[in-house]
Parts: sequence; structure tokens; C-alpha cells
Amino acid sequence: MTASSLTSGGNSCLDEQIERLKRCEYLREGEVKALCLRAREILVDESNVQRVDAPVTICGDIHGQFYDLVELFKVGGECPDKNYLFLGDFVDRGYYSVETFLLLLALKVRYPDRITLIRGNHESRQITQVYGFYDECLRKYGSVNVWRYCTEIFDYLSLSAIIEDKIFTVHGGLSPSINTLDQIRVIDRKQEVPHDGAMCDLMWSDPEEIDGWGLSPRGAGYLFGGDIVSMFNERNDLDLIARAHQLVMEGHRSMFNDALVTVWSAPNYCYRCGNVAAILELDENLDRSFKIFDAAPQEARGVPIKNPPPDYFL
Amino acid sequence: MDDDSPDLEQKGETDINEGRVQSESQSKQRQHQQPEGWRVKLYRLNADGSWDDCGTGRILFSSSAATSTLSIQQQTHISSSNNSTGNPRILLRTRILLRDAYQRQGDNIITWCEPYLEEGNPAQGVDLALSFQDNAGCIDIWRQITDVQSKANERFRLKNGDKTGNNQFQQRESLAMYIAQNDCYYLKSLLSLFPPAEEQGDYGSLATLAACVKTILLLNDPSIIELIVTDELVFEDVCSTLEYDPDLRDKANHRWFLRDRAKFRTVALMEDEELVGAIHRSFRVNYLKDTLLRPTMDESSLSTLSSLQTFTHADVVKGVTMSPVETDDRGDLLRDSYLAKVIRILGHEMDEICELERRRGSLSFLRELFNMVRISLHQTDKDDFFAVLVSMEVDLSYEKKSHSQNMESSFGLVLEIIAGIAMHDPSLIRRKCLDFYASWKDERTADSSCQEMAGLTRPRPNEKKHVIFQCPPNDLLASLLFLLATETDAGVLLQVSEIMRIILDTDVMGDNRPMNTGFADEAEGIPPSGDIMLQRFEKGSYQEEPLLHKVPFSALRSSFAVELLSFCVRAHQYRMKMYLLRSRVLGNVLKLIKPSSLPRITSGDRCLKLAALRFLRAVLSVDEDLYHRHIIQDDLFGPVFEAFRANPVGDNLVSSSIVEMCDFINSKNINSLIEYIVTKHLSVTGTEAPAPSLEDVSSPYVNTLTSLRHAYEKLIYDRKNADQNNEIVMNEKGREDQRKFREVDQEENYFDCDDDEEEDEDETVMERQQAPETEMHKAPRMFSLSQTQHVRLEIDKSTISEKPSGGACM
Repeated sequence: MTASSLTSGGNSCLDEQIERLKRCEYLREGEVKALCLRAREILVDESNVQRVDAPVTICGDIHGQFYDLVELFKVGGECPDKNYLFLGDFVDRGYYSVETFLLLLALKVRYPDRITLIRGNHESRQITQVYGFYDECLRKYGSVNVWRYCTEIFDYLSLSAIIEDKIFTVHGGLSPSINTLDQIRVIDRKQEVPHDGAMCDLMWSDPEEIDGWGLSPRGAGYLFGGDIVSMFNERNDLDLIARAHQLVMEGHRSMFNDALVTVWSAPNYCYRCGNVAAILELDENLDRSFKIFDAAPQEARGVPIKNPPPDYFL
Repeated sequence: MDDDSPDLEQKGETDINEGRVQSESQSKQRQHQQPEGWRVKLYRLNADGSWDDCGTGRILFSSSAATSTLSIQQQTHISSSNNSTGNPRILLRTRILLRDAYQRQGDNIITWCEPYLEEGNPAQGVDLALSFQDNAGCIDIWRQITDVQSKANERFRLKNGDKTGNNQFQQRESLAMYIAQNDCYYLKSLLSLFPPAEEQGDYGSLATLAACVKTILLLNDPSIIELIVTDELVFEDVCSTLEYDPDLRDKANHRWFLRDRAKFRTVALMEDEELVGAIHRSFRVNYLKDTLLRPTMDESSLSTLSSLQTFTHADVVKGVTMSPVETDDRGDLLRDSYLAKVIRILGHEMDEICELERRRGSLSFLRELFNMVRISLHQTDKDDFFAVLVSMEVDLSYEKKSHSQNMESSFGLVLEIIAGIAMHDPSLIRRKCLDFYASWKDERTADSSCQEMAGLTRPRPNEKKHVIFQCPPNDLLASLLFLLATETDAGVLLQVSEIMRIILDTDVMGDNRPMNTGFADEAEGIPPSGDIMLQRFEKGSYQEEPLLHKVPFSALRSSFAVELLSFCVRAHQYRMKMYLLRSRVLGNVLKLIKPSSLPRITSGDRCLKLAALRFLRAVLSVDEDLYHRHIIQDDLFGPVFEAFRANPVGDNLVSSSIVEMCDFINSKNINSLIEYIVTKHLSVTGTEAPAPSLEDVSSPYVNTLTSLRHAYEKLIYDRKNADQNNEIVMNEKGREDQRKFREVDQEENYFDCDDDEEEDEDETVMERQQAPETEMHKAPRMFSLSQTQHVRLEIDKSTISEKPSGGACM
């Protein structure tokens, strides 16, 4: 790591920050800034198709449900002990997007080889302004600087990952303009999620029981059928596509003869959907097993740390 | 109705679902209160399926701490004379069931299955029926039953984690109506139970109470919530109660926060009582919404609070911006609005430390105001905004001066406000800058011998808020550029470059033309600053000496500058073309990505490289022959491929953006570049080849370069074919090339004599253009240059904003 001189001596401080974040206390603005700078240096070295080794645990959408993320780590094992791959959508909708994203980011900086974060459609300036992350930053910090730092980092997040050359993971799904993994490697990813094109599709598309490609009701990305998946898997010598992006009540769902699986890790989504969540554990031999978990019990939720600025002029 | 007063909830009873037989003494008490009851006949279903008459009596409803009961007493006619049988016989004593057990039949009958009648055999329910003499009696008792049920239902729902809450929308409505009655009498009585409960440390009750209050809040009823946020006492009580919210792991500390921490502050005297009231109300709404309800709430149950928030914000903004009218003997007098007062404070020069606090307060006020405006209302008086904006450059330069001693940079505040304005309407800021530019030009032509801007003094916006217009203002743009050229804080840099981007984004605006071109002139101020940084940066790496410790920061800063350049290349294609070709800045920037260029760099190194590559990519995306020629002439892909070769990871953001660039060239069929890349860079291997070929480097990941070579081979093949078969085509191409070159020359000529007025500008541009070329390798001179620059930083902080543009710093 070329940034080693910067990070050296910073780990104890980082450990302390991680401890605080785990208690759902968010970091000071200056700390976020420093964290993001360090994260940037790490993420810039990651590939659009980031290589990940097994064993690893794949997690789907989190959506700011901080206490459920804590539950996830309880169920799946703590971060440096287990390898994690998060498929994006860390923010928005839940009430703790700031804490959630910062915890994951801090873990990423602390244990870069142990945790992989890839980008979801909500890791975007536009989307976060509508679905809560922007407002949450403004509410918790009184300014949007933290939002600025975080969205800046979003641009650096990788687009997909490949586990042991066999399992391809992405937030949304496939794209008609992508046939091979190499075509993903050629994407210039450091940008806001575009409205169309390959990068957009990777984050927005959904599998569907159709033949070929279909229009997506989401207004971005495409629907893709089992034939597309088997073609893609064959061409790239893959066993499985693991993705997130869609709520599944039972936490995970396999499609197209196990050629694709959806993993959803936000239990009781939006605090009202009543679904369970799942994580997908892959062992050294890429054997799959799911762990199901429910929303964190009420007692586990702490007092929200108040941060309406104590001094107010209006 | 008094009977089912909130003391129903007082004892934190846990036995909500258990039946309990009322004690005799209690029933005696009731007799005194309610001697009369509705006349009713009690029936019981027997094993045969027919109803047994169990007697006639008077039915009484009673409600005590833990239970609500119905009891029927048999009528006794001789009670007064016979003391031994003085107590009337109780036909039935039953606790009202909380589930949906009761049915009405006809006008006068209520039936239900009573599970607890026979002690010792609770599993066996008994069907009972009440036959009322009067319809009114039936209705009355029915109402009592449903009242008890609906209230209990709420509590039950809470205790069970809201899981049964799917059923009753209507019940919610009626419950809300009930609670809102009589100025929220029910809520108030509920709250009055809090102090004694807390005193006794009765945590069970406190938790129940908190749950009840929270449920009431979540009823989302406008009149209830309105009352809570309007009445200070009620608000405080609600917050106290909620400290014991059972959904929280630890007790909250709202009272402490509200009493000891939260402070409403004013920077100027706020006379408008109504405004003060509105501000407090808006604070309470925010507090309720953000803090109290957060752990469990569902956004939809907060719609009332959200809309209330919008309304209170609107009230506050109105109150702040409105000028109060004062009537005295001389007639109506328009006084300053509160906003104007604050702005006046900012307009003053304040050097004493004690005033610094006030100044910061004013800025915080403005920031909050802007956030409010941004969140809640989108059309606010532009004039007011403009007034704010106008006073802004004063502080910007001022803050700069006090920056070092300031514990926490109030830059952020100022910048955020400027960003707020820019986001609301960038033309305001543009106009500001252009106004300055125009007046500055006038000044200069009027007194051309005058060196620099000595004649300009800082404006003193006193008394009237429009005073700024009477004096030449400071140069906001130059101030921003100055920051961009000197700042080391990533946050400030991010903010400034965002602001610059917004105000430079004239394309979207469809502004009138003079504005556009005028602004593009200004835009030229940016590249020089990029240049400056670049030089300082280069210097640092060549020189290795005293300024090296600044280098990491420079890398970060330079990456912002370079990104801004990329933005300009796309947004101001025409102007940037001229600038880029003259200054050769692209080549200088690309030097940064050479692996050798940055020894011992730590932070920001990769990002700067990436920014440099993206700059080249931006240039390519314009798809302009002039640029292509420039790239080929100066071999600008040289450093790119060098970086590609030396890239330690191979498949990362830097390499993917390089590969993407090649892919773009291929897909756009930019023949000249394809030919250049393949002949100049891909085929080196055949001859000298100490290093692996580029294709070898890339092939583990992508085959882009190979396909680029194929494209070139095809190109050659096509050319040969064309040569052989159709000479005309070749000629055509040759002619076209010639035409292009002619065009290019013309264009360059055109630039050179572009505009008489710009003569001065051009000169500085020319100078700048020379600088990097000649001075790049003369380290000592570079050093002194930087030093002057550095000294300027210290000395000129107060005056720098009066400089025409970053270019003049040279």
C-alpha cells in the first residue's frame, strides 16, 4: 500500500472510531473527511471487477438499518474474523444511513482485504437526495459536508466482484451492452451513476422469468431472462451470479436453475415490510449456505444520539 | 365519562388480559357513586342450547385502576329495614373483555362468551346475554365497552411490538378524536400522571405512560400535534414522558438537553414576538420529529409532523425577511428586517476577538436560514437572497484573515451559504462576478497607469443594505480561485470546486449571450490557478527541499484543480480549446501520471493521476481534430502508457480509465489517434522491447489494445485497397486533411485576434504559456517563484481578493 505512511499509526484511532460507530455514534465531520480520504486511496486501487477470495459472506441491501447490520455481524461473524462482500445500497430509507455507511467504510479502511464494498444504485448523488441520506446528513450534522464526502467516495466504489473466478456479484444485474467481464473492466467508473448504459444497468437491472431482455418498470436498467444468464455464465465460465437490489420476503431467492441468486439483507425493510433477511456464506469450495436473520430486537436499539445542534438561531 | 379517566393507565398493570373479580369493598363504593343503573335481564346459555333467565337487576359500569367492570345487582326492595341482607345480591360481576367478544343483537341485547365466570374452570366459556329494558341503556353500555377496548387496544398494540396494528384505521381516527377533545384533556391528564410516577420510581408505569404518549403522537393527528408543539409546557411534559420510552435501551435525556443544552440565540435583537414563537415552534417540531420518534417510527406516521415542519419553516422565513412597519407621528416607517440586521453585522469590519463570535453567529444564522429555505420552500424573494449574497464577499475575505487563529474554520459556513445561493440560482453569483469584472475593467481603463487594484477599497456596507452597489465590490471569483490555489483542506476544496462548477455551468442556463461570453472570460481565471499549482507541485518534486512537506496537500489540491479543468473542457468547449492549445496545460498535467514524476508521494497521489487521466478523457470526449493533432504532436499518450505499464496493481481505476480511453478512441473510429497509438506505442516492442509490450501488459485483463491494433490493421488495409482501387478516395482524404489544417490555422488566427478588449488577457495568457515550458527545469528559479507565492500567502491574504484574477499572481 503506497498510502502506508499515511495510515501508519492511524489504526488505533480507526479502531476507536469503529468502536464508536458500532455503538451507533456517528463520527465528527473532520473524522469523516479524513476517513474518506483514506478510503479513496484504497478504493482507487480496486478493479471494476474486484477479485475476492473464498471463503466470503455475501450481503445484500442494508439501507441504513444500522441495528440490523449489527445483527448481521452477530449472525455472520464479526468483520475481521470473516470476509465480507457487500453488494451496495448501504444508504437511504433507514434512519441510520450515516452510521451504516461510515461503519462499513471504516471497516474497509481498517481491513481492506477483509471486506469489499461495491456500488448500488443508491450510492448516487441524485438518489440520495430523494431517499433520505442527504436529509439525514443535514439533520445530523447541520450541513451537507458529510454527504459531500460520502458521495465523493461513492464514485470510487467498485462496480462488481468476482469470487474465485466462478461467482460474479453485482448490485443489480446484467446489461445488454455487456457480454464479457472484460467489458466491465473497461468502464470508467469514477462518475455519478449514469441514466443509461452499462454502468447504469449493472446497478439497476433485475432478473425476470422472460426470454431475452425486457423493459424495466424501474425506468432504468433492464429485465433479463434465464437465457441471458446462462449465456453470460457460459461465456465467462461462471457458476453463479449473486446480486441484491430486490426485496425478497424470505431473504434470498434462486432463479434459473440456481444460475442466479438474489440476496437481501435488510430485515423488516423500511421497518414495515415484515420480511426476513439473509446472507450467503461461501466456504473454501464455494459451497453455499444461507443464514437467515430477523430484525434486531427492540431492546438492542439504543437511544438515538441527539445532534440537533444545541445552539440554534432559527 | 370522568370515570374512565386516565387513572385507568396509571398502575402499570401487566394483567391486561386476566380477569379479576372486583372486591366487595370496591363495589360498595360504586354503589354510593352510582345508585342507579340501567335495568337489565341476564340470560345464560345452557347445555341444551336454550337461554336460562338468571334474574333481573341494574347494571353498573365501573372503572378502577386496573380493570373496567360490569356488575349487575339484583333489586332489593326491603334493604333499609333488613341489615343482614342489606347488600344486594350480585348477579354478575365481570371484567370487560378487551378482545372483540361482544355482539349486539337488535336494539336491546348484547351477547358475549364469558370465559372467566366459573372459577376453577377457566377454559370453559359461558355464553351470556344482557337484555336491556331501554335501548338507551344498551347503547350506553355498548359505548362504555368499546371505549375501554379501543384504549386498551392501543396499549396492547404497543406491548406487542405493533404487530396487531394492521386492523383499525377507523379506531385510530376515533381515538384521535377522543384524545383531541377539550383541548387534549385526555393527553394532559395523562401527562399529569408523570411527576408522581417518576417520584415513586415506578418504572413500569413510566414505560406504559411513555408508550401511550408515543402512540398518541403516532396517531398523526394534526390538532394534537399542533397543541404539543405550540404549548411549551405540554411539549416539555411530552418530552419528559418520552424519556422512558420502552423502545430505548437506555433512558433518554431530553429534559437535560432541552433545558441545559439547547439554547436559542440571536445575533441581533429579535423584537418580533410572533417570529420568536414561530422559531420555537419549528424547533419543537424538529426535535419531536428527529429525536423522539426516531427509533421506531414509520415515516408515514409522521406526515403530519413533516408538513407542520414545512409550515413552521415558512413562518420563520417570512418573519425573518419581512420588514416590520412602524407607525409614528411622521407616518409609516419601514424598519429593517431581521435578516437585514444580520447582514449589516456581517458588513461591518470587526477586528476584536469578541466580535468574532458574533460574526460566526451571524453566519450560522444564515446557514440555518438557507437550509430551511432549501428544505422547505423553494421560491423566496430573490432580492433578499441577493442582499445576503452581496455582503458575502466581505466575510469571505475577512474569514481568510482570521482563518489561522480561528479554532474551527468558519470558511465552511461561508462556503455553504455561497453554495446555497449558487444552487438556488447561480445567475445571482454570476451577475455578481460579472458586475465586479465590468467595474474593474472600467477602473482599469480609466487609470491605466495605476498598478493593480490599489484604487479599490473594501466596501463598507453600512446603513442601507444596497450600499454594496454603490461601491465596487470585492471579487468573489478571485477569492474562490485563491482558495482553490492555496487551501489544503479537502472539505473546503471540495466545496469550492463544487461552487465553481455550479457557477461555471452556463450551458444549462441558456443565459443571455453577453453573460455567457463574459463569464467564459472569467473562466480563464481557473486554468492559471491550475497552472500555478502545477508548477508549485512540480517544483516540490524536483526540488525535494523545504516545501516538500507541502506536497501531499498539493497533490490533493491539484487533483481538484485538474478536475475543474476537465469540467471546463466539456462545458466551455470553445474557450477552453483556445486556452488548452495555447497553454499546453494538458501536457503538463499529464506529466503527473508518469510513474517517475511523484517520488515519495503519499496522500492523493493516485487521485491526482486519475484526475489527470480524466482531463485527457474530457479532451477526447470533445472529439475535436485540433485536440487530436495536439495530442499526437506532443505525444501525450506517452506518459499515459508509461503509467499503464508501471501500474502496480494492473487492473484498477487508473488502468481501467486508460483502457476505457482506448476503447473510446476505437469505438469513435478516431483514425488519426488509432494510427498514432498503434504505430507509436504498440509497436515499439518489435524493435527494442526491453519491456513487455503494452498488449502483454493488458491482455490478462482486457483485449482493448489488441482490438485497437486490429482496427489499425484494417485501416491500413482499407487504405491500401483504396490506393489500388480508387486513387480519388485517397486524394479526397488528403484534401480533407489539408482543409482541416487550413481550418485549424484559421481558427488559431481567429483566436489570436479574437477581441481587442482581451488584449491584456491574452498577454497574461501568453506569459503563462511560456512559464511551464521554460521554467520547468530551472529549479532554482522555480523555487524563488514559489517562495514569492508563499510570501504572498502570508501577506496578501487581506488584499488578495481584490486582485483581478489568479493569473495576476504570477
